[in-house]
Amino acid sequence: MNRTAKYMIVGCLLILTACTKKLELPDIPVEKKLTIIAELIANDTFYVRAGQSVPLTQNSNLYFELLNNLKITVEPNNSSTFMLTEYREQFVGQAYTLPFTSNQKVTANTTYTVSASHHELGTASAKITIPAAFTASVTDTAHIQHSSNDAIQADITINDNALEEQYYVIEVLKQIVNIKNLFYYKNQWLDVSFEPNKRTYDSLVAAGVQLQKQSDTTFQRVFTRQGVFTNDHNTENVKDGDIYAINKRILLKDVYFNGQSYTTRVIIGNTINEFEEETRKGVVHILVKSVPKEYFEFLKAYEQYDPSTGFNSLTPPVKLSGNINNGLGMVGVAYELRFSYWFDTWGF
Amino acid sequence: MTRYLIYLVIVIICCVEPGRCPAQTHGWLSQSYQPEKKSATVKGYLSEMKAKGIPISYSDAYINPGRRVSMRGTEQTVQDVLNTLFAGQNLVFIEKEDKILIAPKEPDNMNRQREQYNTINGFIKEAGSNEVLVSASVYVPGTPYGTVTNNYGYYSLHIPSYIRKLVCSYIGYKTDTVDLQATDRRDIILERDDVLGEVVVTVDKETSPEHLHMTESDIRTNPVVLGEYDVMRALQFQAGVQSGIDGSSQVLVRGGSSGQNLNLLDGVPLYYVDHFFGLTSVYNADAVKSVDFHKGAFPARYGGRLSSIIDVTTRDGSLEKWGGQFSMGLVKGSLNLEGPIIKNKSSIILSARRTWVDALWKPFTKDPSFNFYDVNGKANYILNKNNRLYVSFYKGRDKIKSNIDDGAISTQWGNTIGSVKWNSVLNPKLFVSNIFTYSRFKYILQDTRQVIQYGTISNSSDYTGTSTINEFTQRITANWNPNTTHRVEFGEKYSYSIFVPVSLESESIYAQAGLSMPISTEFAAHEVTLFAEDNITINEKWFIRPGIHWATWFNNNFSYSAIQPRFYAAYNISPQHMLHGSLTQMTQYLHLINNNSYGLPTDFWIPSTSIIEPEESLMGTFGYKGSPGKNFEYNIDFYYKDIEGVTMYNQGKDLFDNTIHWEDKIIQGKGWSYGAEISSEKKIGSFTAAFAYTLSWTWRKFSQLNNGEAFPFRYDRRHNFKGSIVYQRKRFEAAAAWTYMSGEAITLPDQIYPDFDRNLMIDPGSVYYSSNYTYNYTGWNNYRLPPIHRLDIGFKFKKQKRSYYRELGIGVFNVYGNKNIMLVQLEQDPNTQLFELEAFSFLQFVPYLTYKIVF
Repeated sequence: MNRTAKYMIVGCLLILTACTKKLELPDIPVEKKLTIIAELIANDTFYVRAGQSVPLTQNSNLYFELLNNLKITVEPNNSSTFMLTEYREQFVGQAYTLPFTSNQKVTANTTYTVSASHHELGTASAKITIPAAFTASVTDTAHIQHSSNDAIQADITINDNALEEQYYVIEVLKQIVNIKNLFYYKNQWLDVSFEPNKRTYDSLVAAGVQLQKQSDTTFQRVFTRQGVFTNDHNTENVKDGDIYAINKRILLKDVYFNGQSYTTRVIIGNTINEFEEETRKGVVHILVKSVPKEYFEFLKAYEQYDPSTGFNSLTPPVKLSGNINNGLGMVGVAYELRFSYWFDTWGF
Repeated sequence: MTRYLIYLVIVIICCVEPGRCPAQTHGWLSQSYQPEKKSATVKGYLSEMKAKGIPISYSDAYINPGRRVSMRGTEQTVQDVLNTLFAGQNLVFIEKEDKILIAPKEPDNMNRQREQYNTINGFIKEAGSNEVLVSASVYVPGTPYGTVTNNYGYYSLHIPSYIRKLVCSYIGYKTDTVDLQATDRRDIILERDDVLGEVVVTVDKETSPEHLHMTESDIRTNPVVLGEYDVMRALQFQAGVQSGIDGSSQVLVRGGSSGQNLNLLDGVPLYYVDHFFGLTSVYNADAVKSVDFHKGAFPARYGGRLSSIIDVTTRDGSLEKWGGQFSMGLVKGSLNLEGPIIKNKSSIILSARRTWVDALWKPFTKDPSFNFYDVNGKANYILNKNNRLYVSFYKGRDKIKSNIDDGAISTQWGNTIGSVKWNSVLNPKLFVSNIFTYSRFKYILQDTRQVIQYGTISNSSDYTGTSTINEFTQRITANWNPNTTHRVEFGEKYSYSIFVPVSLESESIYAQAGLSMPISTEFAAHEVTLFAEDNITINEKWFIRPGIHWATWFNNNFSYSAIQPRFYAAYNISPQHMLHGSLTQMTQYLHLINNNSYGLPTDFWIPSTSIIEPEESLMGTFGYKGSPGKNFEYNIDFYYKDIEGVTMYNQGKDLFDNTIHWEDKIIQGKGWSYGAEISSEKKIGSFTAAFAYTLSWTWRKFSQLNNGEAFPFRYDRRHNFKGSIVYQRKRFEAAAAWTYMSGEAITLPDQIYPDFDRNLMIDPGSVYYSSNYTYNYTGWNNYRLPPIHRLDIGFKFKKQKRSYYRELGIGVFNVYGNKNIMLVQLEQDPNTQLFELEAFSFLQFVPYLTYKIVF
């Protein structure tokens, strides 16, 4: 909120006698760098995206050129190197990267070196160790009122391993589901979303006909982030920020409960109004992750980083320190526990 | 290592007497000479010698020119004649710079003990108002005997009894020569001198060139933005001093931040000194009597800040007659009233200022609205000739309000201070000042809006956020002048401070129903300070000022203490040339953390705690001061400053976001600054030309930033030049000032790369604004904005009427309209998609008009 005041004051200044001029960006030879981004989850398959950066120098523009002949390899510390396979998908235009995958699975407690090689940009790599397994549970999920809106409350209990320093991340994603509402009429199932069928359905219901109905659900691979609130003063979110703030991820160090079970309460509420929209209904996944310190610090900075502000000389910069040698980006790793809930209701 | 080097340099400065270049002498004393008259007055003989081409220099202060003397008839040389003229008197005849100086003989230790001394003491006051004058000089010409008045206009001078006259001078006043009477107490009245005459400048080794004393007229010399004459803007013309952004009244000294300046108003600390986005400071120039600015060689009585001392003394109010002044500019109006409550016994002064720019703004829009006001008051009562009581207060407030989203956000901040002071001359050698002060700073941010934030009503709406400091202080300062060699100052201070760095309250039902409101944390601490220093005149050449300042800061959870040595030494090569050096250690228990230096209330004072350590600095200076001719002087200074415990926000953090973990948002590191400063002033007739140039480097280093490597301070300006020409006549004044400063260092990203969450195929939904790319920063403060330069001109038309004086000022700030940058933003050209920096500039060709009437 202090930022609001700052902008208000700067706004006053601008109103006074503001005048603008264009300055040249530094004309220095900054080389493009390979960028690797991934979050490798134990027991899941490898999925890595890679591309390149754009230097901010004179005459540079916002165009991320996708790289041809890019090779991604993974070298486990106790096994032979294997290559990930590139595939084309619809999201490359907005992600600015190409996806690479493999049917091999990520193993907990294993160290890997993920490398990207390109004939012009060289080789960038990240050495990562997948965290060990842990246990957690989610209890007392309930609908509550938060800020006069419906929200979901959940208590998450993490069972910490006393022998290791651990870092935990809690995030909530909603997986969108395609819902097809059908009714049985004249020996066939008819889709209500089809307009002639809708008219038929409405006339039958108006006539008092009892219809047999069912819904078909198809899960999309589209995840929408759900905002999370916390007032737990042991979380980095509250230490760094504001108990009122919507968080992307809740970040928790085990130094406050080493070797014990620890319960923290989260409130999931950001897109509550959207629960009413048929097209946004889906399953809510509460993800509890154990991550290494390096990734935890990256996510902590990422939580502070506000892309909406862009860059201006009033806002102190937040530097995201990745783990890519000779490149940019982050190969995060996690041991993940997933708790899925249906909070949406539907019917017709 | 650095500290040892500084110690070494200072030791060398102090121990190695610079090689003397003996001046060529003419041999005047041995020249054959026989006076024409057998009997005449001393003055008659000396005049005869001068008429015959023998250059002789002397002062009436230690000879009696009217005494009749008869020659013996055996005198053959000039030396013989002088021996007869001054037989039995403690005088020496020295050939120096091709003339004969008649000067008092420096007594050896034995003679010193035998010699009779008097302690002359009193106050130096302004004729017509009986207002005491601060830092006025009292001296015996041609002798090492001299001193300056303290902050209360008091002086005490221990001089041989044969001294017959004292000279008293103060800039802007007619120099007066005072005959000493039988009594030791001598109050001196000086008359104002409207037109400055020719000034013979000699260097005063007791007054460090690191110390600047300014009067109200000095503040009003150079043209300033919107005609807002201000203490801080006047200081920006000094070498080693720079502003934050262009046009702001902020003062940054030798690589320090604005929070490292100790701002004192009549001895009471102020926490925020900016009004109106830094356009002017809280010091009302119309109420200011004098300003003592120290940028190094800090006297032991000061402590608590690292970079500078800005000690502002306001007028006491005339003891003789009622009067006042009214001044107005485009931004504000100011009214002063002063006069005796009981004539020559008690007086009062009241000053008030308020913006009227908000009234001018109103016909066009009511949103946003902003204004400020401040009120100064001071009353004093002379109990008897040795005791005087003062009561003073100040209250100032800035406010900004804006209506947004069917609600309003407003912010206001201000200082409230009060003090009671009792000054007492216990005996001619001992002056004591007791002061009790209260200082309060409060910052309030209110938001009554119902913010729809990403689809939900924000819980943070309808709140009041505050940040407050309350400080109670008791201080005793004593000036003791035991003999001619020593002037001792010592004292103590105790203060009790209560901080609420940040607190939130809300009446909102949403806040009550939702997450609990955070508890505001109150933090209290005690500070005890002891200090002592001795001004030692070793001989005609050497002066040293060793001092010690001890301070402790504690509460139940922690205790810090620091012994801070202070040392200043000066060596007079000749009356016109001086070498000087200093070494000072300072400790600061309060920290101002800011994201910028725009004079905005987004900066917070926080105390040292068990987690946040004090800031400490060690600074060494070495310089040369010369006054080679009439009305001409120059200074060359070198400095090195080392700072530990520099504070700032950790990246991306904001104190107001969280009321409990505010200590966790602070990071501490190191800083250092070094440079050279050259300044000069020359007066030719009605013209005065001056310049100040600073070449400096300033660095910061934090383990959490820039991979732990050193990076330039934001205001690491390599070159800082201020030049001015002032033309002064009785009825007209013209001034032109040119400023050049290297550009600020800012942090600019060097690359963008695809966004992390986007690449995990997570749609940001409505949680936060998202971008498809992320900025990558490699170096902190790695980009330099273009240099700042501008020319300001101003004219004053002055007229003294029978019953009042009026002054009309007009001028233009930034005459050639250079677009000096205050803010930059990285943008994309919507057509070409090319990245570019958009720079905002505010103050171009800003004319001003001011009017002042003194009645």
